[in-house]
Amino acid sequence: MSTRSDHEEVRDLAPELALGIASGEERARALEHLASCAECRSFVQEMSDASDELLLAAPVHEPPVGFETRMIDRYRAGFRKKTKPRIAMLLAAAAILLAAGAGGTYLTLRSDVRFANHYHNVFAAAQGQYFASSPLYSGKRPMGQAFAYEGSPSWVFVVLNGANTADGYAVKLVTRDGREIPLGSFKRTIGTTSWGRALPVDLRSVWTVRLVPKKGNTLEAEFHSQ
Amino acid sequence: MGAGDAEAAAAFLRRFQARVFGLALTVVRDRGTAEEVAQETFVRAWQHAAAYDSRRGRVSTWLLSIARNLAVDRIRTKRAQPIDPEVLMTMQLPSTEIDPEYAGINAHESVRVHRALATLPAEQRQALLLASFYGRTAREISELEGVPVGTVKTRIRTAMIKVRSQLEVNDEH
Repeated sequence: MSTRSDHEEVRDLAPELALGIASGEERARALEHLASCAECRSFVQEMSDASDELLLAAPVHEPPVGFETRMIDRYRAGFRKKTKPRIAMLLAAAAILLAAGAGGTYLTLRSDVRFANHYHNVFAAAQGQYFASSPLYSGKRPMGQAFAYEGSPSWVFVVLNGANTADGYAVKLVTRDGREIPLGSFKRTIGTTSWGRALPVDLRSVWTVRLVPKKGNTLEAEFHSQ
Repeated sequence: MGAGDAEAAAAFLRRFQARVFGLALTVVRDRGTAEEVAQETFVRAWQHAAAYDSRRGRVSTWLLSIARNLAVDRIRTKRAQPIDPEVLMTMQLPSTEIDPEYAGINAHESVRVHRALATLPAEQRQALLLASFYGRTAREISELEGVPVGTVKTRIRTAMIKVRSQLEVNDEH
């Protein structure tokens, strides 16, 4: 879909995309083009780098007395060693299986090796590096599943079970730096509903996939622990 | 910096806390809220230290972008609140009050950004700072400044391209 006009439109919009002030509609229009245009992705990245650097112009102020102590206490109390990402463990297991070579171990784990090879081939098809899934919850109630893939392009795909009652959802990404990025919207269909879209950001920066209905409960899938 | 390393966490905190708190205070203009934003910024940084990609930028800009987004989220409910022109001015002029303790780490970084901002016409600089620090959209800035949305978009675009170019020039010196 990459046309000259898309190219120009996205380049014009790049500063606002980088500053995080483009509207949801503008961002959605840009996404499709960015997924297929390396030149524009690079330009938006350059604008983002400049946008980040602008923040260095802020005045420096010492925080209130005791800030450092409070933070270190919080660090000691609340910071736990992260568990290994599940996908990393799967890949590590696959690597071990592939390295196991011939013999009894190989024979008993042959199906796992085939799976690991298949997984590797799927990734190779679109420069994939990472794949993750997480349940979509409404409060504590599971309502579906969100899948996310890092490759070229990266994408997110959500599947809702038939228990949902909302007419439709606005889909948003919450990034680990606190930014909320509108991704698009979809209407519910009878039974299982699914929807997917290319991502405008690095998948590893995604904290939560949030589905917001016009009326009713928001659904959330957490990716930050993976 | 890895998990469980309190000494490294403390050193990281000491190095960047004044800059993070300064940015948070600039945006939210309340010391209590600014401290909450600064605390959350460091917690997120520690949690995601492993995901930080040094090829994508400096630690300081990564950390400040976290602080900026958290601070903008805090002020979203107060959109009608006007921006104090004096606050904007402080970002348009190189600070002469940087603590010498931070000078070696931060002063050079700030000066090159102030130099880049100084090359912009006032109206472009104003639009860029409102968007960058306060998350104001082109439409919101157009209402604040009483100029058409298209004019604001042009100001922001032109300003960003100039700043990027100036930062590259400053990098080479």
